Amino acid sequence: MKRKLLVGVLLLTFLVGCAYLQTTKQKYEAITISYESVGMIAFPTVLAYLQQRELNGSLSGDALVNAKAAYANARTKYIEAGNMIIGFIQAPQVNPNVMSSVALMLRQVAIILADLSGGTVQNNVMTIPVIGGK
Amino acid sequence: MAEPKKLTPIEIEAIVSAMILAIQLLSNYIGDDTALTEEEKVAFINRIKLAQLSVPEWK
Repeated sequence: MKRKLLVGVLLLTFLVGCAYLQTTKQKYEAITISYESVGMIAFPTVLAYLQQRELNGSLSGDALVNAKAAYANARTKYIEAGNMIIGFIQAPQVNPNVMSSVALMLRQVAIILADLSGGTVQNNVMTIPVIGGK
Repeated sequence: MAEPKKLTPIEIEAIVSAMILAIQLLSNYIGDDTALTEEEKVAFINRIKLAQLSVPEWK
């Protein structure tokens, strides 16, 4: 089921990509769908994995404390990024560059979640290739 | 105890891909011609808020 959901994410990203160079409304739609995908699929999937490890004892002690702190940090950044998007939708003229900050914050979220889920993320110019599980 | 199955690289990549796409879209966002109507703005804002609320806490 989880795998199917994640395949769905890939398909979704493809479809969103198709709308990449469309109208303003479609751009907002693409941004919103992408944001929704992260919050409604990526976070719960990573959390389910972490909680399973917590339950069976393979994640405990300092590692557990650190993982919880990192997850909370990612969640805070995600919510803050959402607030910035909302501000931009309401008044794009106030701070036209705010979306660059949003992008940076979401990138940090991506790195934290990938790290928590057992993978590592490498920095690159426009892509973040993932190297398989530890 | 045995460690549960880790996410596979393809699963991790799927998760991160969604984020990367969001980042790329947001980074390349160009404001242009047609502004959103108030109704459309409210609809997008509500969806963002709903997404924020759906991120579970780890207690």
